[in-house]
Amino acid sequence: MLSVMQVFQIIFSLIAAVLIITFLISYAGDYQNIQGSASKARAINDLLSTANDVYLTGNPTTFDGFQKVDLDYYFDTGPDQDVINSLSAGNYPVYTPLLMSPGKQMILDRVDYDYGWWRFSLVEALPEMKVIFTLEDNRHETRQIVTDILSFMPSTLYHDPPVLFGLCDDNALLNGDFCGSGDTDCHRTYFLTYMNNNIDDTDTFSRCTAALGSKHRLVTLSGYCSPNYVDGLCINTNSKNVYLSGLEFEYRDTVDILALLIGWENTDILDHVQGKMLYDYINRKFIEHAQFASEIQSKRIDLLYADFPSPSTCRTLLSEMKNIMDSITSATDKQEIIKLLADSKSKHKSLVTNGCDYL
Amino acid sequence: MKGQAAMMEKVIVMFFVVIIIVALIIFLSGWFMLNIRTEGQRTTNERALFIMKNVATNPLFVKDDSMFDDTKLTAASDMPCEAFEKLYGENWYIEVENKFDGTEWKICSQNRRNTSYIIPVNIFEKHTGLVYVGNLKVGVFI
Repeated sequence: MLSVMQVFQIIFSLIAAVLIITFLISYAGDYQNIQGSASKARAINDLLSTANDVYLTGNPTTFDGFQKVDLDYYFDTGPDQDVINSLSAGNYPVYTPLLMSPGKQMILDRVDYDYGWWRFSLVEALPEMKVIFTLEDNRHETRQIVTDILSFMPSTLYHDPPVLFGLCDDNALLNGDFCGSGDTDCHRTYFLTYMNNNIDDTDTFSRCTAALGSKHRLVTLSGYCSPNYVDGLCINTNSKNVYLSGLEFEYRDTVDILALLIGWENTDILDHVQGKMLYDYINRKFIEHAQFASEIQSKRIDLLYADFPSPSTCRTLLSEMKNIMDSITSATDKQEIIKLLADSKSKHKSLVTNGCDYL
Repeated sequence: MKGQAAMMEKVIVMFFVVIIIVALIIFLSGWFMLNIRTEGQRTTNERALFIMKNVATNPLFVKDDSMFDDTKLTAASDMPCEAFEKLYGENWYIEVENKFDGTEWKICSQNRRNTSYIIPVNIFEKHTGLVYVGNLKVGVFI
């Protein structure tokens, strides 16, 4: 027969045990959550650190830090902040110009625009993809657009994940070993060689109707592109407009296409089309960087000006260069800035040739 | 009396169990905080090194890698800090000093607690074509 004291002891022990176990389970759960968030934060920081390394060195590299963490994230490119946003790990500011399509494993590479006196660089981060071109308009100038796009894409012959290329004609998808790589994959180098050696003005392509997988990205070059002409990206070779997800964009340079191709039709949690987000973001970055650089260069020209006698060729060239710099600083349209930057590149060459500045 | 002693025994055991659990929690929390602090310091160091490498190779500031151009530095240091912060983020600074004549160029410099790195660099004087020795200091405010 149990005494009152023994019953009390049992109840006391049970209550104490339940309290301790509840507390331990709750603490263990919290601790696991915090550790999980810390791992995710570390993975995002590693991605940004890798992007910075690629930005500085220009050496392509593979990033697979998201393979071990279950991370839902997207690149949020708002007007006030550019951040990698993860609901479970917070926001991480991005200062390096970055074109990213989220994936578990990505290839990171750098793209440069060199104007002599200034260089604009951006980092692209791509998951595995197969870019399929359809050349409904197959003139030499059109193929040059494809070549320009390819020159901005990473070569993944010796890197993972693969970024592959192919052609589509009607219902036939030529993305196997047609390019002679000796493999089933058609990497950039082999695809470029194939394009240069095997495609000419006499070849004709019809609108792509082949079944495409989730990793395919169809790029159609046609004189008939309109908002809903085909799925994927459509470049109107006559009007120089580009269409993606029913939206219309201006095609001013290859980075415009690159941003749309990388962002693609994917949407973030607010249903923003990532292609449009990246397009707006990289153009904003390009203009900001160009105007910042031209302002510094304009101030520098004021300093250089006094070093040369009046009148002299150098003074004339420096004045002309300063005018271009000031025009860039005050310009708001990207097309105008691109034209002015092209002028500045040739003007800088003249300055170097005449011994007024160095290369 | 015997029952009370057994009860006391249980209370004392409970007390020690709670002490062990609390110690474990303090240890794990402390270890976790240490990790966060180390991670934060690593991020700060990486940021300072990135800015340093970027500045030392950016054609806007240098003639060649790690060889600054005095006219470029003068023009850049004349720009408002906000213009730099808009592109490269906040809470950092750069100082370049010509060790020959003591000339200094400062961008976003402030007297605040920071983590900084100093490396020797060359400074090209455009007017004379001479190259001097100097220091590049890059810091991130904590």
